[in-house]
Amino acid sequence: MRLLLVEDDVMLASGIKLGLSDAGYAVDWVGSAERAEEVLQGESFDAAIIDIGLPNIDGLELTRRLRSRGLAMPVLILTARDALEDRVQGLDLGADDYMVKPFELPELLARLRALLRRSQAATSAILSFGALELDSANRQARANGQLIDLGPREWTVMEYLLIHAPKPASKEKLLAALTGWDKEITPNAIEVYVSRLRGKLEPHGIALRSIRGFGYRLELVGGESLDAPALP
Amino acid sequence: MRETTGADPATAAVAERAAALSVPAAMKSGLQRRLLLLLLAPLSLFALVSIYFDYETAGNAALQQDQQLRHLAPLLADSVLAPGRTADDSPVMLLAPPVEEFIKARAGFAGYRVSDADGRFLAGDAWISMVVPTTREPEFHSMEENGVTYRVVVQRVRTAAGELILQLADGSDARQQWVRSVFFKVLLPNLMLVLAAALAVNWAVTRALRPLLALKEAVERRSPRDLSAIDPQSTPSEVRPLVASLNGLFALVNDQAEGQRRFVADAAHQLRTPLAGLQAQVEAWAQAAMAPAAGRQLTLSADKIMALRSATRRASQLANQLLALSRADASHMAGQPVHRVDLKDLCESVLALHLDAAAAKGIDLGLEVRFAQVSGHEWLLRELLGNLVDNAVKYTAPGGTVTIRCGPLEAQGAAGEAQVFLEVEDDGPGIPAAERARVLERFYRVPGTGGEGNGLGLAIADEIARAHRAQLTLEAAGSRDGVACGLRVRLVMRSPA
Repeated sequence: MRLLLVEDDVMLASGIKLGLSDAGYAVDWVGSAERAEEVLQGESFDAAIIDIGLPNIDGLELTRRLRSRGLAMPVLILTARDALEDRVQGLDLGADDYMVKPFELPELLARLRALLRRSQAATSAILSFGALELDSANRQARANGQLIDLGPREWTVMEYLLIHAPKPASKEKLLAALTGWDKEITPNAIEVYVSRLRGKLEPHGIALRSIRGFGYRLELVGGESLDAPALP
Repeated sequence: MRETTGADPATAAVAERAAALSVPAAMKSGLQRRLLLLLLAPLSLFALVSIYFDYETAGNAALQQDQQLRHLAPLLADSVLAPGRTADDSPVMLLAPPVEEFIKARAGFAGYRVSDADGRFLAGDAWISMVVPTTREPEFHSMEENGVTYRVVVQRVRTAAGELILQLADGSDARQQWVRSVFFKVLLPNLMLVLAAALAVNWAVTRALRPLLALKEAVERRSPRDLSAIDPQSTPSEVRPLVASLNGLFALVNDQAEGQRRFVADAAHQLRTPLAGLQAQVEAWAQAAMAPAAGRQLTLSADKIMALRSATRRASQLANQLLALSRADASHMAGQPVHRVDLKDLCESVLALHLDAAAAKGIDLGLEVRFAQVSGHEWLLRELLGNLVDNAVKYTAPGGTVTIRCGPLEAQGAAGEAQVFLEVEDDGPGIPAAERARVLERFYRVPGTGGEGNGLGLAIADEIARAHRAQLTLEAAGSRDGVACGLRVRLVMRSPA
């Protein structure tokens, strides 16, 4: 995965670059919108992280220009302001997500993963989460190279959860997604599929957590090292 | 980074208010001008009306003059007793007494002329120019001679001397005399009256407005640093309500400025602590790394790095919360437009944000939500709920339970309106009843509380609740062995119609 980081603050940029590199991304870092446009002339990236407060041309304008050039890669905006207008404007101009500075690295990584997964889902038929891969075209689920056998309803539940991970998926929406299969489906039936899925995913380090009063969420068992809770 | 704000908006707001306070300066002159205008305009109008009536009277006088000439014309005809010896000789005349009197009374400014039927001069004053009348009716016209305007009646009449044209001229033209006299008799007194009245009114108005002027100066002397109240006893009773509202505004601005000063001092003090910790750590490491034996290298243990990380996170969180607190300030939000907020959606999205933190502590974070709406500021309510959930997750022991709830309330409000509630309940240690009021204060932390809190979360929530004209209530969620435990923080708001 190759990422473009557009940030003029050296300290912040080197921190983000280090964190992303450690997480396995290849990061190209530029300090201005002009430089970013040059780099994007010849090379392609899987996603861009753009700071709003850039010299001369700001990050919102850069995002707009990228979109008007037809670049479809996911864009994550960094901003020091969390005023509502800034967010709305950023998303209107074609950004896919935003983060307010200062932020924690694990959250940046999580947002980035979600963005990349969504763009993958749009461009390729393979969705992934941790060790799990879902090939929509062939209706095949794999984990660590092993084929996982999923029934059609289990597949629908799995696909829905995967598209939304790491956000939780609500039971109501899951029900709605399943009504295509079964008119008379009950919330209890979902629990049956979920418990079957749990049994199939847990050996591969993926947990399907119930969120009381809401729905379910896919989680990596043990989380990632950077997701460890802060020391008191 | 370029994303820095310019002047402190609070300071700007204070300056703006101070500028607004100098309005009475303009008000004074405006009042004076208005009073003068209101008093002098009718006065001038009266003067104009008086001049008009004088003019009308003069017009009547002119009509009376024509009337007199008309009466005298037949008498002049009767004055012709017999024709002259020849056609060119003046006829034999004996002026009738009224005519003679008339001419005598206006010595030099009146005269008559007798001409034959063709207008040739026969007798009288030759300077009266001839206008041949076409009818037998008396005709009137004006003529000018030696700078005097004459009113002339001319009539063709049959007399003892045959058909003649008679003219009678009157130079004592009332209109002209009026023009001459009008300035001295009417206009000048009127103008002087208006002028005198203007001076008197100006003097009176200035004198009457003096207390207002004094008030204006008293207001001008005030500065954002000194907004002491103005003594209402020294002002006229009419402006006492104004002084009272001014004093109210002063008190408000004072309170706000005082609040801001205290807040900035508190904030700086609070930010100093985590920053000092960070700095001390990094300074020590820098020193160690630069020591000759270290060879510009330093190996850090994971524990140290984790401690550093948690210190920086605390500083970041504090900065964020300070910003949120200053923005949630109830007085700033008063004028902002409100929107309809779906509390169920809000609860679900806040839940999603805190699942990671809850999962890391093994806390069961869940929802019990029913559809409910309020009108308010969505991002503020999100901040409020986020702070409550953050607190609950932070202070509840691993394995505990935190529940976010919202929905309609059975009980109606004081005015009989429908109400909704938003609440967060945990089964953590709770807050002793004696401390519950104080935890809403800024930077206050319950003694003996560990963790990374900064004492702002509940203060922010409370501020936001107040911006929505609602109040946070804190109570024990349950009891264990007769001892209260857990915490339920609830916000009750009116449901939009």
